[in-house]
Amino acid sequence: MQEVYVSVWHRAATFDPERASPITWLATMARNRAIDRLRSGRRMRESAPLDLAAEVADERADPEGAALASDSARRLHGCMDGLEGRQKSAIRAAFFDGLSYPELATRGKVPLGTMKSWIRRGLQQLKSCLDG
Amino acid sequence: MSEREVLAGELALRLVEGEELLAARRLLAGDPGFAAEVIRWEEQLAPLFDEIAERPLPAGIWARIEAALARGADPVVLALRRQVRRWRTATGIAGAAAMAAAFALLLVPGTAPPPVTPPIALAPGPVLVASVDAGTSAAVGLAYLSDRKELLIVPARLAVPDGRARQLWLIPEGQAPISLGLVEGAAPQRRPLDAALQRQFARGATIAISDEPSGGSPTGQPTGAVLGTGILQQS
Repeated sequence: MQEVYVSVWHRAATFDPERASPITWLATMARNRAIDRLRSGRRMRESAPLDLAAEVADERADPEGAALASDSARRLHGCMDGLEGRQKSAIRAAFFDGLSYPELATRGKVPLGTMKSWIRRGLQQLKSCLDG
Repeated sequence: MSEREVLAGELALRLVEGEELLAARRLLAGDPGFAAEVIRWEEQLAPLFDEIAERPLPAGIWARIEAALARGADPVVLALRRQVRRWRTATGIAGAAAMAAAFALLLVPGTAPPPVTPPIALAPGPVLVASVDAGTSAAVGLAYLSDRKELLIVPARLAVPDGRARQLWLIPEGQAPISLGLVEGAAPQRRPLDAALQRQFARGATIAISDEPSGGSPTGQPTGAVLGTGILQQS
């Protein structure tokens, strides 16, 4: 947390004004920094196998609140809900747990190539829905 | 839906690692269209952050942040300082190569240490260190070894688009930038410094990295964007 703020301070000049929101920039930077730290100290965690579809629960605490959220949130959730269950779960696991392709494949107990093609198809579908 | 848009999504989510990550970052640094696609993904995925529950900040964090900024403290530099102290107390293993390797490990998690150059003894004279973080386009560690009259440059992460170069600058307080040459390749570089340049190395001076045409700035002063800066600190 402290590290992210100090780093933001030093890099404020690199904020790209094309971005819609400084908050997103901040949150993204915090996420990237956390992932760097996680991966630098990584011993491939021997975590219990993960049933992707079941394990990564939809953590939206308040579905009513989400419905009231901004257009972009509604759009994203709508498009995520349009994905096949395992694609959605894998993308959520990547976002929230910072998992890379190899980690997702290990935890989902599928070959790396399979995981990559699931997610790539998921990303393609998500993108056309988001931009559509 | 292009392959590139998928790659932009993979980078935004940080699904890719190792060589693929480096290649994506090179593209990011050299291709504004690709960079814009990554930003677009980040913005589109951002509503997911709202699902993360809010947590109270640890007590006293603002005071610690302000103190860290006042010291000019960067976690990389703090780690380097500890490392240099350890090298100085240890015998036999001191060397710029070890330092270079540690630099690279600190700056780029998950990558192999750079090729080891023949070790040189780390003399007990002042050592100034700086880390220049230019985000995805470059991270460079730098150590000035006063007793050896040498500069050690460790390009820990470097993405240089075709036709461009990355140039390092020393900016003594209140003075114009002085070129320290280009940063190239992945291997640590040792550069001898002449007496005039050595005198300019002092605590608190700024180290900057700028985007320049290939071959370096034609004017002797930075002509392109300054990508990142760091402060020289006593090790």
